Amino acid sequence: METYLLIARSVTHAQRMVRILENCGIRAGLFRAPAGLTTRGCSYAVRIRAEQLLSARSCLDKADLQPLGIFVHESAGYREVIM
Amino acid sequence: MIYFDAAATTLEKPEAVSRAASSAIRSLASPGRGGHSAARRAEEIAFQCRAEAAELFGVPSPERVIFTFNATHGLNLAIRTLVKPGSHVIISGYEHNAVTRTLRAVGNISVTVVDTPLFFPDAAIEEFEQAIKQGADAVICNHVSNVFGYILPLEKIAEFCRESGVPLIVDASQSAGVLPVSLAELGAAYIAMPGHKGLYGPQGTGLLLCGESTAEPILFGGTGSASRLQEMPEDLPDRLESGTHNMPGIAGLLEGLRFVKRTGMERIGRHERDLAAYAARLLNQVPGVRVFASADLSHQSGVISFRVKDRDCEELAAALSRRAVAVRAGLHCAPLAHKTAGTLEGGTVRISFSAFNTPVQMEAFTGILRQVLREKVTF
Repeated sequence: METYLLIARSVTHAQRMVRILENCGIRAGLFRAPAGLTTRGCSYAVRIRAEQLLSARSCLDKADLQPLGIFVHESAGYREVIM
Repeated sequence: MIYFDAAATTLEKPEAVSRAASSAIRSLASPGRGGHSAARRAEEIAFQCRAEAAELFGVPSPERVIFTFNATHGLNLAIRTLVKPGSHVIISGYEHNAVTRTLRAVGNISVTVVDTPLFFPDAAIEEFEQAIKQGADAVICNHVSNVFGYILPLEKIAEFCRESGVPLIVDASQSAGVLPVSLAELGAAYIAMPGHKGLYGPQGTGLLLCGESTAEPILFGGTGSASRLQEMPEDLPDRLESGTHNMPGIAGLLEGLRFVKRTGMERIGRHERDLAAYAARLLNQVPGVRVFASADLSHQSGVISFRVKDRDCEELAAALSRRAVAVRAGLHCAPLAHKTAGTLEGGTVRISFSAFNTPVQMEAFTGILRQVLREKVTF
């Protein structure tokens, strides 16, 4: 199953994204981001399903809550998606 | 014990507060410091606490609720951000040392003190308006005097600040949990409050509510985020929260906030104000007692000061303590407030109430005070 990771600025930022997404009816999971996904070190990420990416972005935009980056999880690993 | 020192800290807490703090010691690890379940549980409690406070105090997002050790810590963060050497600051004449000592530590600043009379908000409004019109780098004002329970006209002062574009720092130490306080409605830059007074959390907790601007940290270190960067992260709350969080405190504070929300801030505030009015009435009947209280309840919170003719305040407090009555005497870390009110020499005895005090306790207190005053002074 294709999933996307929304990288957060902090655990609180990630928690808020999860709350906002859940309010929009989007299932989202919070976990520590893989170390290679950010040059900042130690991050949290929010995982969503691929088919919910568009509505998730729109939902977060409405709350003025942008992720630091978006990654897609593929068989070869993670790839950043520039949007 | 009759505990009338809620302005220092509320001793009696809701049961859920101690249960949560005790459970946190056993079950909560460090939020933002791991993916394991104990860290995740801590993250959830911390977020819930921020979200509860944000809702209660009109903060647009939980990230702008910062955990501090106490109100003093929050005031230091706010003042150190906005006030620099060369700054001009306007303060009320009822500020605590948490404000005045911090300003002194910044150094080389000019301060206008609006030292209008006690329980005379119209004079305060007039003088604050004049002072703010002249411009300033910050206005710092406590919502309620920790000595006299005087409710300052904060809404008007905030309005003048908004009109003149002057950032406002509010010390809500005595009002959080008993009076409406809204960051959004006041348009304040920062509001600092303790977690352990009117919010019924454990000692060692406080909150700093942040407006639009980013505050400068005074403590540097690990945040569990952006660890490769050697500068503190730009984002709140991490920017202002270095080091391990006080999770037992935060878990207890969450329950304290829930208690306030469930009980109703307005209801708690009215109960404490009614007790203060009753206290003033009873104390005014005791010979030799001079009560500092407003006849108009809208200017008085549940904190009240008094003096007794020819009696030392500290001696009185000590005598009351021997009879299991807890009050606070002296200057209450607010010499400026005493100077403004004319009580700097000798100070006052302060009694202050929480949601758990009762009129019967106040009657018992008055009886004990009468007994003490009949006795010869002994240390």
